[in-house]
Amino acid sequence: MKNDPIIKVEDLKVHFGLTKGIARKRIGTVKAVDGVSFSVEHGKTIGIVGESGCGKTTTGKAILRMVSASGGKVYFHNQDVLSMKRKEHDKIKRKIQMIFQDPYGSLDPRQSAFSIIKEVLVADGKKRSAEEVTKEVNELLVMVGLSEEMGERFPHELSGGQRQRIGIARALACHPEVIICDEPVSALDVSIQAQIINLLEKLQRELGLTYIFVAHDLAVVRHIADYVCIMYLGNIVEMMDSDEMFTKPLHPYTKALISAIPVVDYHLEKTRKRIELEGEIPSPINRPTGCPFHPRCPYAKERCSKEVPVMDNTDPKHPVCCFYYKDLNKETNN
Amino acid sequence: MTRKDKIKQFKTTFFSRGIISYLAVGFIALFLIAAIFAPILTPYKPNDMNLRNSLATPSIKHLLGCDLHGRDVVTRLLYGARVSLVVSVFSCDIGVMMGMALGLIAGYTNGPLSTIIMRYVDVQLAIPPMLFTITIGILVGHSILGLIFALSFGMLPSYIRLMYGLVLSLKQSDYITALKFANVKTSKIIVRHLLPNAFPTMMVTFTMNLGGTIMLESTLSFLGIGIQQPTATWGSMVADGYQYIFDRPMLAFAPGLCLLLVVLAFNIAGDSLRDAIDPRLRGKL
Ligand SMILES: Nc1ncnc2c1ncn2[C@@H]1O[C@H](COP(=O)(O)OP(=O)(O)O)[C@@H](O)[C@H]1O
Ligand code: SF4
Ligand SMILES: [Mg+2]
Repeated sequence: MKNDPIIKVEDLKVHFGLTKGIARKRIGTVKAVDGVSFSVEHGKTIGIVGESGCGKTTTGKAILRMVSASGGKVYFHNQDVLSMKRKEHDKIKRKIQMIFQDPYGSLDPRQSAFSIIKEVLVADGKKRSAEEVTKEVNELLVMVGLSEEMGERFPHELSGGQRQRIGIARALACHPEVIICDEPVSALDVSIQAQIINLLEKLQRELGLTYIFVAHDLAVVRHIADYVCIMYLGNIVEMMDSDEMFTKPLHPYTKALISAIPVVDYHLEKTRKRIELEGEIPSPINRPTGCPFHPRCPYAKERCSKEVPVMDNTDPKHPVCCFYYKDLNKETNN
Repeated sequence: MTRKDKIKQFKTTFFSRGIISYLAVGFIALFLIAAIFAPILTPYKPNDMNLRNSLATPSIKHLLGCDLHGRDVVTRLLYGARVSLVVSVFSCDIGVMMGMALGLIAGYTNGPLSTIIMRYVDVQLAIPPMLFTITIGILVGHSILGLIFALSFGMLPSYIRLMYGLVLSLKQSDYITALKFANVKTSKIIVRHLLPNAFPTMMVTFTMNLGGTIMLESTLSFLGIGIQQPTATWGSMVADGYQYIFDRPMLAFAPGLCLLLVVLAFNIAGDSLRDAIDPRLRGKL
């Protein structure tokens, strides 16, 4: 079935223990991811947006079992990934890959681009002749927009954008179905960002890839994603079609994020209402009681600091996690 | 880049400190030649006493004079280089290899074994290394083998800790993570990525440590707890000679200077090596 979700995350939790001293006494818990649920259909892109430290990378790493989840489920083609035995997991591992944020730290400085891709390619254990390997690696290089000669270069001889292309080629060498893109362009120049985004879109069309696209740049996400999750402090607070993100944001946090983007149109800039966020991002160690956003929320009422809001699924395609979002929208419409 | 280019680039970065790096390499070469060819380079034996030459002043036959027992100073310097070389190379080799192995286990497994290793490191580091080495040295007796054992044991914790830190940070790095996602075997990750990327730092520390170990060996010999008399070592030569520091300054000064230069040379070589080996610095200096 084409429309079954290829990846489905249910109530995923990742809690890190904070320990101190030789005795490793537990002094607290970092709730980096605290009940995240979403699903992606085959060939689609889901965007995950949120401030730094809200648990985006940890979510990605938990799906890949790089950090162990404290609770929840991850399904890949309806198979429960997190409860698989290691041997079983090894079999499907290569189908989900990751592209990293830092193009410098994600390539071994001692390896040529060719050997970086080759090593990952041949790790599937299939029998190939040396010529076949070379041919496949070169195809991958061309596929990500590099020339075959680039294969001889070492990471320090490549630009940030070129390195990121090698990182993409390495992910493709596993023949993945899903790629988790962890802020793949945020370390790059704006002009190069567009090239990498276009490349990712081209690859998605050609190879039928599914992306989980993590970013903190809303414009980038709106461009590439079909569906967007807004994350705040380990929770998803709103989900919507990416077109609705700018036209119909419902959660106060989403509204604040949107209004923080500078607008070029002078008149619009003068008339529009800006929502300024006060205070620092609270740390996931001392999570606020009630709605995690309440210390910074301009609309917070007394109830917000006492009760935890649950996802309101009135519109199943646009769930929001806020007590008062309906009232807010009446206000703005007036 | 061809192999030739790489070697050329290695040379330029290695010698980027100019004349100083050439001097350091030159001195290390001299040191090695002296240690290896000592019997050919001098007609005398290091331990042959000739009381008629007691405290002889420098002459054509004895370029730096003779000590109290009439032994040729140049000869004893050459043979002393031998002892220094053997002791430092062997103890550093043992130290670095054991340290890398234990550090790798502690860093990669991160289980109970890791806790045991790192606790041991903490305990030993709490004891001053000099005191530790002296105690072990006394316990195992005055022999070259005993000294090597004491020295390598004494430097072990610092190597373990260095390797442990390197492994911890390397294993978190994105490029190792990517290999894990791709199902690359752990043994391959360790052999092809962890060890080669930890190696430069270990190598640099190793080179610098050679100088320090020579110094430590000499200190022990100077204190009379190193290698037993009459074996010629630079440390015991300084100890013997400094009683005549005003009448025959060469007796203490010559081995002291040799020590200073060798230690300095190894430190400079260590620094240059780091620049040359680290690919992030390649072509930038
Ligand atoms: N291994 C870890 N141990 C303890 N805390 C961690 C660990 N990894 C991440 N965290 C914490 O979890 C939170 C979320 O981190 P991360 O997922 O990297 O955020 P993001 O990618 O959204 O910037 C942060 O507060 C971070 O400090
Ligand atoms: S529940 Fe309250 S504090 Fe939370 S976002 Fe809504 S209005 Fe703000
Ligand atoms: Mg991140």
